[in-house]
Formats: sequence, C-alpha cells, structure tokens
Amino acid sequence: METGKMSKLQLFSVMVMFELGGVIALGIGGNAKQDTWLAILLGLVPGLCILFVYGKLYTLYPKDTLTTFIPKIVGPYLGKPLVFIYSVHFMYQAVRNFRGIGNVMSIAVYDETPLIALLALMGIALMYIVYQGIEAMSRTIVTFLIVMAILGVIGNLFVVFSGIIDVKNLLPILENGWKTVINTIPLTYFLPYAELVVVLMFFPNVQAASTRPVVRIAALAAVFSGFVLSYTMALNTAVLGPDLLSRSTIPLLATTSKINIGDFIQKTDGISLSTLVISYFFKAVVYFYAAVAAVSDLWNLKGIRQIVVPIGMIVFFSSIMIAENAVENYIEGYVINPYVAFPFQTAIPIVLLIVAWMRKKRAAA
Amino acid sequence: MRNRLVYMLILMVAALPMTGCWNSREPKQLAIVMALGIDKAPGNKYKVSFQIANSGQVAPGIVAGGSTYGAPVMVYSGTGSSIYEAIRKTSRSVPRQLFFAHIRLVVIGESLAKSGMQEIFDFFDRSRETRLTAMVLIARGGDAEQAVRTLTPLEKLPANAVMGKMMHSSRLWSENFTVYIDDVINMMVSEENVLLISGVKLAGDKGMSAKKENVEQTNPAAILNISGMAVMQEGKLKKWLDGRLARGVIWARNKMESSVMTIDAMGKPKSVSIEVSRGKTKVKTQFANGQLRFHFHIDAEGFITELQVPFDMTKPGGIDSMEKEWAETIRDEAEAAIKQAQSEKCDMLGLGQMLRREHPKQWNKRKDDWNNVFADSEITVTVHTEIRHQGLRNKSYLSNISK
Repeated sequence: METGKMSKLQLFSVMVMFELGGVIALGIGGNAKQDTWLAILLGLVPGLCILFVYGKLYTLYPKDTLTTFIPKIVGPYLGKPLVFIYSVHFMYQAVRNFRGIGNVMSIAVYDETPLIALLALMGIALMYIVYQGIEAMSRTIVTFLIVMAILGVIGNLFVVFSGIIDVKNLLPILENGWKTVINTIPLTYFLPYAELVVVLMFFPNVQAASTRPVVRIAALAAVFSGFVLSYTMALNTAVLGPDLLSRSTIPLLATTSKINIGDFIQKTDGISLSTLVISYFFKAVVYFYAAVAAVSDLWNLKGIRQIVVPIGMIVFFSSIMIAENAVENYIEGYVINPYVAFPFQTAIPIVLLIVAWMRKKRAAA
Repeated sequence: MRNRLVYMLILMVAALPMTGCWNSREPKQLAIVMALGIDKAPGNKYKVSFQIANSGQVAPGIVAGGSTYGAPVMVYSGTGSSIYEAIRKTSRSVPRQLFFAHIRLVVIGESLAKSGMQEIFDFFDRSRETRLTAMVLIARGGDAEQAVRTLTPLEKLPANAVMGKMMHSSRLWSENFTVYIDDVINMMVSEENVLLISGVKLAGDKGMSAKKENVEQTNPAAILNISGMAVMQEGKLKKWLDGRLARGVIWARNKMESSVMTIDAMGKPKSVSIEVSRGKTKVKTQFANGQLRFHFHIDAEGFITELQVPFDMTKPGGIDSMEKEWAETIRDEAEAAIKQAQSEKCDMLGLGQMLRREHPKQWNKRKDDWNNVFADSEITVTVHTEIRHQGLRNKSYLSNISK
C-alpha cells in the first residue's frame, strides 16, 4: 500500500482535476441541447448521494483503501477476485482516458503524427509521475490546476470581450420539458460524478484528524467541479448555439476558435487545448495510480514502484489497441462505458456498505 | 562517473524526439488562403477558387519567402466533387501547400446559391484549420471566381477590402448585416431555414477586374460593391432585397447600427437628412383566439446632418414635427419589409426563432406549418423617434437667402 500523505487541499485539487478531466472540453449530456448545463447540475444530486456512500465506507475503514477493505468486508475468497476486477476496471478507465488524449490531440492539432508517437511521449510522463508516488503526483496536480485556473480566467475574459456570448441561445429553458433533462441525468451522473469511486484509493492517504472533514472536502470538490462544468457548458451553448454544441467533437475548442478581439487577439485555440490535454492527462494519471495501487494491494506488495512500468506498458499498448479509431473510442468510452462501469461505481459500493453495516451490527450484538 | 555517463546518454536520447512537430510546416512553404470562391461546375461538381496572399507584395521587405513582383494576390481554381477534393486537386498548380487558417471570406456564386448550397459548409465546420469566423457573401449576378479574382484599390488584399466594405456598409448604412459561417449553419438548422446573406457585385468592365492596371487608376475599371441581401429559403436563393426593403428587414431584426434617412419637410420631399445613431426593436407576441399577433416597437435616435430647406429648428414644435415625420418613414420601411416577407411566406424576420425561445409550447404547436402561420399572423409596428440635436447651426443659411 502506498504510504505517502496528501493534504486536504491536495485532495480537493486532485478531485477537481479528475472531475474536469476531458469532460470540460468534450462536453457531456448532448441530448439536453440548451439545457445541458441544467442536466449537469442536477446530475450532482445522485452524484453526491453516491459520494455519501463512498464517504461512509471510508468512515468505517479509515485506514484502508478500496482494495484493502474489500477483503475485510466480504472475506478473502470473494474479496481477492473482487479486488482483481477492480484493478482491471481502473486500468481499463486509464486506458480509455489515455487513448482519449491521443485522439483529441490528433483531431485538433497533430493530424499527421502517428498516435503511437503522441502516446509514447505522454506515456513516459504518465509513468514517471506515478512512479514518484502519491505526494509528488498531488503536488503536480495542484500546480497544473493553478495553470488551468489561469487559462480559464484568461479564456473567459477573451470570450466576454469578443462579444460572442448570446444569452438568447440558452432559451427556451426546458424546450422539450423536464423529460429530456431527467433522461440526461443518468448520463451526467455516470460521467463524471460516479467516477469518483477512485477517491476511495486516496482517502486513507489524506492527513486529517478524523474522516469527517475529508468527506466534506470531497463533497465540496464535487460540487465545485459540477458548477465549473455546468458554467462551461452554459458558456459553450451561449457562444455556439445548441446545434453546434451538440455536433462538436470538442465544444470548448469551437468556443475559443470564435474569440476575436479587434482582429488582434484571435486563434486562441491553445487555451482550450491546454485545458483539455492537461485535465485529460491527469485524469488518466489518477486512474493509472488507482490501478497500480490496486494491483499492489492485490499482491500485498510493499510499495507501488516496482509495478509502475509493467502496468504502464499494459496501459500504453492497450490504449493503442483498444479502438480502431476516434469514433470507436468515443462510443465505447462515453456511450457504453457508463453501463460497464455501473457495477464498479454504484452497485458494488452500495452492496459493500450494506454488508459492512450488517457485519458491524453483528459484531456489536 | 558511470552514472553521469548514463544520464548524459539519457539526455541525448531524450533530445531526439524534441526536434519539433511531426508535420511541421514553415511559413515559406505555405500559401495563405485569404478568400475562397465556390461555384457550380458542370456535372454536379464544385469549382473552388483560392485567393492567396502574395506576402512579398503585401508587405515588401518584411516577410521573407514571398515574391516582390506580381499582383498582391494570386488566384487558383480547381474543380472537384467535394470542396476538399477541389482543394487538393488544385495543389498540382500551386507551388506551396494551401493553408486555410486565415480565410476571411467565402464567396458563393449566384448559380450555386440558386441551385442549393446547403452541403458546402461541412468542410468549414469540420476542418481544424478553417475558422467559423469567415464571412459569407454571395456573388450577385456573377460567379464567385470573378469576385475573388478582382483586385481592389486602397486595400492590397481584396479579401480585406471586401470585408472592410461589408463591415462599413453594415455599420454605416445598415442595409446589410454581416454573416459568418456559423451564423449560416445556425440559420440553416432552425426550422424555418431562412438565410439572409449579403451580396457582392462586380460592377464595371469585368474583363479588367483581374488585371493589375485596374487598381492603378483613380477610377478603377471594375469594382466590387456590397449589394443587397440574398434571401434563401431551404438553402436556395429566392430573391434579392435592396434599398428600403433591406433596411426594413434590418429594422425588424433589430440589427440597425447606423444609417442615413431622408425625410420630407416643408413640402419638399427628402430634404432633411437624419443620421440614425441608435435603433432598437422589441417584439411582443400575443395570442388571441388562436391568432398569432406580433407587435414591433422600434426606438430610434438620431440627429440632423443636412437641411435643404429653410427650416427653423428652434421654432417650438419644429423638432417634434420632424420626429413624427421620421417615425412615419421608419414605419413605412419596416411595414413594407414585413408585408413582403408575409406575402412570400418566408420568415426573414426571425420571428419563428423568437417564438421558439419565448413561447416554446406555442411554437411546437405551429412549427410544422410555420410559413403559413407566419404569413397569416397579424403584425403591427409602432415607432418612437428622438432627434437629439440639430448640429452646429439652428437654421440653414437657406433661410437667409432673400431670393
């Protein structure tokens, strides 16, 4: 088990970076058209509920990560296989997100560079960060979150001063009634809120006197990133209109490409691309760390260093083989993936919590 | 010692992939496309013309890699079944790679506009190189290639010249408004699918337009003018709007920025010029017994710029009567445009989208038959005008000419 420590602020940053990862630029909840921002906000409700479940599990086992408390709850015979499939799940998510970065980069900038070249450079960085351990990782994420915040402020000012915001694009609110929005909530819940199951791999590393403030910080991070995502989507809608928004591969890129201040500040695609690549990369990093930590727990290793490179290689090669093209990765990663991930993110944690409660009751009785 | 060697080796190897972009392109290998003209070619093909900036001519001595002789722009054209095929085919005759990030203008030939042009924008929408902020114009009464080939005085780059004309005519004259690629797409996907795109017309000796001598005289033989607005329904050119009708549509769509209007005074027609400094139009929707009613309220502000009659502005009620006259003129213009739109069953006023935004339920009931609903709806116009000042003279010198 990784023994490095992180502060509460670092937990907050890691979670926000993870939640924004990729989603901030790619966009979610496309069916809701101009009400997407609303769907994202409402997705926060089930999102916080499941975060509550994670928090309860953590409170029951404050010194354990997901992969060390599973055997304690369900016993070693059921626990070890479960830990194994969880490590596969985290690896799979790392692969999807890692491939996503490559796709986005080749769509938006490097259209003639082979994917393997893009991913190889990213892969070295990915493995290096995780190899340095959780402390270095969270420090790096804090730094890059500051970079992203600065980019965000600059980008927003540019958009405002370009005068390209047309609030009318957000109207009418609830054009097709509540039904479309409510149908979209599961999507916005799966992505990104339910993905927070990964924080169960971080909670015990957070330095705190009790579990309560840690859970509170986690909830705060979820709410904060929810608002940022919702705001970004509303901004995209106001600039692009619901049609272009729903058709864009990378809506944020389309938004920044419309920036033009006095024919002088224009072509500021760098802002959205940096945001996208940074956040997407660190999402893959977090998933990769979770996979590595899970495998190290599975084999009862002392640390994570010795398996970073082997698992990194698995992630790297799988990410090249996992999809034939960008569309396939998008469909499998965004459309089908939520259903594949549902048991890991929602069903199993709830069952675990119920079993843990029953055990505790029996022990007390 | 050994460690150091290993580190050195790693650093050297690490430097290898850092040599730059995989598909890097140097500015001198690029042909920067400023404007694109798209025409219909026989056999369901497109003819695409590229106006390429000759950087050496545009900024001699500053930009390396351009030739300092020749015209400021070069135009190449090619045909293909798709826009992109035409582009790549043309590479055979262009010594450099075409680069599209700086396109400012897309001109569409009138014949293509007439036969339908809904398909041509996907390339601009999809490609990562093109921007959505290119202006769209229709070559009125001609083909786009000729418009793109025309050299213009004052501005070396014709694309910039046309853009400047367009910007100024929409800001100072307001019979047009500027439309960009994303606006076109957004208008096309809306249910009523009515497009308003300004026209650019080549006037004068068309044979001279592409020659350098054209810009070497005070009175260019051929000149590109912004002319009217094309009304397109379902992607096909339906008619051209000009003059009063065009400005009426501008009033109704709340796109008025500034213009000059002449009104009658002292029995002399069109003798007072008013510069419109501000115009705002609000539309109210009412439903009465299933009948749709729109009410336009136009607020206009302006000042007197020219008097051709001995009119005393300081006379009590003088300004008021003029304001009233002016309001009437605006109302006539707006009503004429509205009537025209209704008789053509073509919602060029953007009322459908307004209804969708403000009354989505009512809109859903009516959207399938919107063109008829629009034509049958009752539209009223009221105008309120304010003349802010009379300029530096109260009376014209005409008042003191004794004979």
